[in-house]
Amino acid sequence: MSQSNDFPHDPFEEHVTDLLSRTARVARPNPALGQQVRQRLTNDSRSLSQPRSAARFWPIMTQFGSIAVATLIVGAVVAVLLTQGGKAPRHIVGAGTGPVANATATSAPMHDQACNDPTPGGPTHYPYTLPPDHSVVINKSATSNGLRITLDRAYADATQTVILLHVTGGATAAHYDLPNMFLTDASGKQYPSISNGDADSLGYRGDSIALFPPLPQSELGAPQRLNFTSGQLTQSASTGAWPTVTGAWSIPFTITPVAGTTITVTLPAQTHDGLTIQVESVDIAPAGGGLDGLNGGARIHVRISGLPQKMVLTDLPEFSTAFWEGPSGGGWSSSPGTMPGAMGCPELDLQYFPGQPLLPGIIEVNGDDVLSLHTSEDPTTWPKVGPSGTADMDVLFYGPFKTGSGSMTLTFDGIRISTPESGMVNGLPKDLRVAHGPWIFDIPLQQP
Amino acid sequence: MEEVDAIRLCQRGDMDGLEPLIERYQARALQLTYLLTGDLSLAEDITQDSFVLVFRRSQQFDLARPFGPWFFRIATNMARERLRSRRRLREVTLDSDLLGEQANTPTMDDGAARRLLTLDPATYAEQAEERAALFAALDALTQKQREAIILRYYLGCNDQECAAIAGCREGAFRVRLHGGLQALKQVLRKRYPWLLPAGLSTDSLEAQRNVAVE
Repeated sequence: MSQSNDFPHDPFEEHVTDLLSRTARVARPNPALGQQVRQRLTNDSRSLSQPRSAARFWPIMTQFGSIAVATLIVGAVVAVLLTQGGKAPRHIVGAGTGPVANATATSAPMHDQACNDPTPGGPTHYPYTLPPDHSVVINKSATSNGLRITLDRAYADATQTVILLHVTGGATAAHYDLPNMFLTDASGKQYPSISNGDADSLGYRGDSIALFPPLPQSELGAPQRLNFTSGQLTQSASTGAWPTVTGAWSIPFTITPVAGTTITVTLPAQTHDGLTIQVESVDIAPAGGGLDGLNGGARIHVRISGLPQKMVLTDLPEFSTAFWEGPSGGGWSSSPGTMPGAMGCPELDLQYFPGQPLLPGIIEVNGDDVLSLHTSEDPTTWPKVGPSGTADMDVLFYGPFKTGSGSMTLTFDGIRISTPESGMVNGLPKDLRVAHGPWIFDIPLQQP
Repeated sequence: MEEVDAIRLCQRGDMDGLEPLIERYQARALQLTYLLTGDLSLAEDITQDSFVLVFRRSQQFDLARPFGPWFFRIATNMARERLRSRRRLREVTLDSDLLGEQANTPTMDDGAARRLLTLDPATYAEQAEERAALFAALDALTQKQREAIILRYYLGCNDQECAAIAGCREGAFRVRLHGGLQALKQVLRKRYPWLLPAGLSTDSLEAQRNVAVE
């Protein structure tokens, strides 16, 4: 990499360089990495995470209650027995060791554990049906170039759309990767997979879960015709290579997204520093979730107006990702209120669980997942704020929210705004600034 | 072996092509992802996963383009996604004792472990405290700002390379870097002034910077 030469270096920047360098030195190269990577590829191990990652699971479950876990597991076992009628599980190559089964049983399969299965060899069988989920059988498939993709089950609500799928055919079909899969709804809107592609980099094997951004509020509670599309499939071969097969897998299916509870919010809009924010509605997804064992979640729909025209939409949700971990490792939070928006890192959080401000899991702007907004390399095609100066933002939080009483408090302490097209000074947008709040909304969790 | 030859081998399914790439890029990938995540175990996972993915996706790599930005983009994206998944699932990293974590980690060669274990306690505590403070300060930034700072000041990339790795345009990268620097400066001044050398912990820094820009 070439050294940077187009940014003025000052003593602070030089000090940051030294600090990073000193800190990074703690991480030392692993002389056995080459061998380990070979082993992974040779063994066709699906796993992209190591066993020690599983240790992070327990603090979460402790936090949310071991009783709930026990209930999930017992319910799951019953559900598996009932739904499969004792049918022998489909065998997955390399699976079936004791530790694998144990890991599957103890970690009620949340999405991360499902996709980043922490146990070498992969799950024994259908770990994703373990929670008492609301998923429905799809069982539809498409074949292209000798490879068949089958959608086994699916689930959708206000915070997620997830699909259980598998691939058969080809040389071994033990391992595969679908880098470009997406869903299309009846209106033609596309939902690129969140848990795949470069960002996630999972080489799927056997039954797998694919996570997509949620369907819009208007599509909840009624049957929706979706189309699963994939144009590429990378598959393992006996040579050890991973050839990419181009094909046209297109699978239409119908699903009824769980409606949950939608609350219309009638709180007045708030204006600070020229920006107006209005909370319009909240969708509460039920606990229990589907396929990946999430505990439910909330999608809060807000409208922001007063934004400069031509502001790039992906620049809008620039919020602090700080979180505090309690001394025992069991607490988590956003930074404790000492990070004013003037510093360029405004905060967005939700207060619901006592002492645990939540940070958003996904932020969508104008109906698109922020990470998938830039599908083109050409900046002129990137979505921008229009003449109305308005953008709609869906902020998704995950947790077992309850409706009917109480409230949640949504706080924006600032919004970063800029329009690079307005001109640059010293390499920065001329009008870069933070609009100062705070905008604080105490949102009742019952219908007005 | 030349880098391009190594990649060609990977594209043909020959794992011998991986070794030169691992030798050349492992240290920076591991340190990059460690700085991005603040979690050594996670960084090791991500580094290993990145090389697995490089091999699997090698056919998609354009040999006419430099390998470094492509590879670091994979590692950066993976770190971003893992952090996102962690937040989505409210995954909590245990406050592990750094010494214990490192003494157990397989990446620690015996010599390094001995050096760490025999380090003067005061020196060890000081270094650990500095690392903890830096990570706490980086945690106060947005993930994009954090990426921008680490890509620029750790990897030493120019705007074009940083933007390619971060998956954004150069202007957006500069915005993130500027915001990140301002935020980091204020966090360090307010919370960890002892981490700044004398002369950098006051507003005189702004004056110095303005002079430099002019």
